[in-house]
Amino acid sequence: MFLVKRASFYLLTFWAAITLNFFLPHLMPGSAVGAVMARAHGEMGPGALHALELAFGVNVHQTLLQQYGIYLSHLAHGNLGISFTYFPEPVSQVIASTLPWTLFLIGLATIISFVVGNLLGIYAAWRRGRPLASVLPIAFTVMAAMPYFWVALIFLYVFGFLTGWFPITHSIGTEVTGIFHRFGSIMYHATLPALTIVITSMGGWMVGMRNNLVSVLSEDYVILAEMKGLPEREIVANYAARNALLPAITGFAMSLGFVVGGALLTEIVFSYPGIGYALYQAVTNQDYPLMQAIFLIIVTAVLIANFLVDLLYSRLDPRVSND
Amino acid sequence: MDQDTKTPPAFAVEHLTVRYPSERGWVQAIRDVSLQVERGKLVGLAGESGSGKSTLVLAATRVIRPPQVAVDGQSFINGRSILNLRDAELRKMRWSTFSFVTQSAMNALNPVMRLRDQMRDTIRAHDRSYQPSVADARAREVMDMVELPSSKLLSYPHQLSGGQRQRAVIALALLLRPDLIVMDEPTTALDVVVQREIIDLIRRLQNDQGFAVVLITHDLSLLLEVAHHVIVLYGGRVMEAGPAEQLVENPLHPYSQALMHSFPPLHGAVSAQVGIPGAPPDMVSPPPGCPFAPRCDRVMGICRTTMPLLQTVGQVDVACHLMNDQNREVKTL
Repeated sequence: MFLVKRASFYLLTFWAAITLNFFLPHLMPGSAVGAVMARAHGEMGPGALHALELAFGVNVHQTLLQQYGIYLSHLAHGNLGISFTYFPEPVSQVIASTLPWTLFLIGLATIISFVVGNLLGIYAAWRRGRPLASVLPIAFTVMAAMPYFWVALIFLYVFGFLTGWFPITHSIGTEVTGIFHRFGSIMYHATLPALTIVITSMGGWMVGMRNNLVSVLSEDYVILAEMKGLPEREIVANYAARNALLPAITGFAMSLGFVVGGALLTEIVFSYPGIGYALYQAVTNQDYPLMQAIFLIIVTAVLIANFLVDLLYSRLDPRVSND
Repeated sequence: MDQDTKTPPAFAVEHLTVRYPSERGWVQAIRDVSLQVERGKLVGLAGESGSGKSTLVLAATRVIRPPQVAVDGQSFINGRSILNLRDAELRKMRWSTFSFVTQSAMNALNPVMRLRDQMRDTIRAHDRSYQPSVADARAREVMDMVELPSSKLLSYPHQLSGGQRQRAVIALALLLRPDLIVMDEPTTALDVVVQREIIDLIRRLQNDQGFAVVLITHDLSLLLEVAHHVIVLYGGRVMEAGPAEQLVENPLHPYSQALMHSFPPLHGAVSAQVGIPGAPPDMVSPPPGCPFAPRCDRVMGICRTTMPLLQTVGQVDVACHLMNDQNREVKTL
């Protein structure tokens, strides 16, 4: 019952999102064809204009409703149109070539940041009073307060440019063959961008976890767990941390959803061929089909991530699913 | 185990002093308190909020410990010195020798674990040959004792009513057959009818199983109904201690008398209730004399300067200058 309720809510939200995604570009002034023509600096004839209009599906004398129907049917077939920027490549292909890189880099960095941040937060709360536990929250609050692009540029400059320890661009080396060699190269290229994301976002998780846990530690059930003579490990894991983690789960869902939006700054600074970089290109080139598709993917990902976390949450906290 | 001529009491505290740091200095929560709980007895610890009754038991069982608090004195459970025990040994002793029913049983259960799992982990922590099926059998047994259907073992705490939760917490306390159960305000969060049921349940279980109980409450009249022995605390000191009947019939200390009059009896005629004017003393700098002197309606000069010592009057121990022979005259006037 809980599942059906949640699922239908998400389906409704999804429909609203794709509908908005269709109407928004139609409300904007200017036309995509005009943008392409302008970029060609008048070197296109009227025939080319007409061909473009047909290709992009504008000025084809259909009502908005008809266009909406066509949009939905194209969407169902995975036809997202043709990218202006990467013309004549179809949008779906642009996404297929950029999304995996983003999912890998930002996804991995987000998960590492969440896990490590929460573990450090547990340590900082459980062992509070010890020197390291007192220093950690301060250090990471400072780290989280620094502007991301600045940290990224410093890392790029020091560890990429000055010392040459890490590559400063791309996601994989040229001319790498063999599965292990490729894997090694991919990890090597991802290290620096992932590291910058982890160290700047980890502090938030850590401080949040620490504060939640400190208040949970004074709950009666944690004290009772200690009175019961449970091993310390079980008290921390099953009684304290498990309850303190609940509020963080929602935040984790949101950030997982936004993973597919890419970390725009990361991908620009490190010239990483992810979807964030593609979005940046799309925006600067008025590439509506690509923008629309990326927005659609972000919305879908946020919804899916939230749905999964809803399911997970109902398992972690029995109070939400049955009352 | 070599049994001495006399088995040690279930719980004994000797000259216990507990202080904890605050912004204004050391708060003297417990000052030189000694008490004994014989095996199988139900001993009540009474006093208003801030009298130190919970602190006394929690510090004596090392639930609160340095650096949170500074503890001096000795504490024994079944003759073993709790304050000198190694951590690992104390952990083994917890729950199997002494267990707790905590202040708000409403929050004493982990909201994200089934009742069964909260019983299983307790047994697992103390039993090397732990087997889930054996543990579950014991869990059903204790559920039976507190008159809860064993199907409730699969429930989460939020699915139980207040009374059921209280029973579940008591079942949990019985799980490892302890010799001593500390009950800290076990009925305060409940309505009067359920309160009655829980008290009857505690009394019956205590009779059947023979464990000793330290019952902490501010409700003296309730205590006098169920307890064998009552200890009245005020300002971190023992004011009066003795058999429950004695305290009902004839409370000697002015504080016990005042406390008796501020609660309606569970049985009997309705009578006017009188509060105790004033507030408990500031324990950062407690008065040099009797802590109750500022609120006492029979205060004398000596009360403000000298702390009265506990002295035995019949079967009761009282710390009050009124008990001294030369002051008895004043009392009768």
